[in-house]
Amino acid sequence: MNISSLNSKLYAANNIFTTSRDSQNDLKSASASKNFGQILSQQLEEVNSLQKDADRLTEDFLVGEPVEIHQMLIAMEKADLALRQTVEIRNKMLEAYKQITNMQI
Amino acid sequence: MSLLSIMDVSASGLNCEKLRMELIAQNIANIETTKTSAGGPYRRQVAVFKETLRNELNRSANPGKFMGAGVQAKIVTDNAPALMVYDPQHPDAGQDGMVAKPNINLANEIVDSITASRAYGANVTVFNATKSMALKALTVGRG
Repeated sequence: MNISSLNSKLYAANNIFTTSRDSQNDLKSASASKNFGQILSQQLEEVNSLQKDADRLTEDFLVGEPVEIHQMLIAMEKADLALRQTVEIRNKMLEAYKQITNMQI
Repeated sequence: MSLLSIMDVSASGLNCEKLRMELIAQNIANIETTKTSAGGPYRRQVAVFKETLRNELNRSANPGKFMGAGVQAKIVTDNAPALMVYDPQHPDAGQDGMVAKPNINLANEIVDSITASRAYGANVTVFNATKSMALKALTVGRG
């Protein structure tokens, strides 16, 4: 395989990443100049806020504030799901990274 | 609509059923109350459910699409006349010996409490089903 064809393939792959990034931007429609890292940190921020919500509700419930049991449990479930999703995304990213690092040129 | 917002819908259902149960407890506790700060006997309170406003707005903005945001409840006082019971010994008896008792039927309240508890359970079941869908979605492409 010669290098120029590999180059063109990498270029194509890069295009795919760019378009997927653009479609994410369309979904968010906040700003056109967001890169993947910013999107990732924004999502992580959301996961973090779900975790904080769950923490706050649990604390309030234990202290005796008027928090319903189901509110607390639902917040915990949401935080749990968000964390699992984050871990899943991390696994996918690591997998992709490993595939690229293992690439023989 | 994301799976997490479906959970919010279930949460609103749970809140409303809890409110209904609260009112039933209040009604049954006050089944013999003949004096209130408003004067006269205690009046039965019922929860009336309605779809949240956001649902209606979303639906008119996006016809043909499902846009749920759950349910909300409000407390309504039952205006049925008080139950008149003949009991001349009662401190609150009138000149004719009649006492105005709350307009609460215990059988109705008990049946309502069973309905509320089952509806609460149904909402929990929907929540759990949503959760298992989300967990299943995370396994896409695995294995």
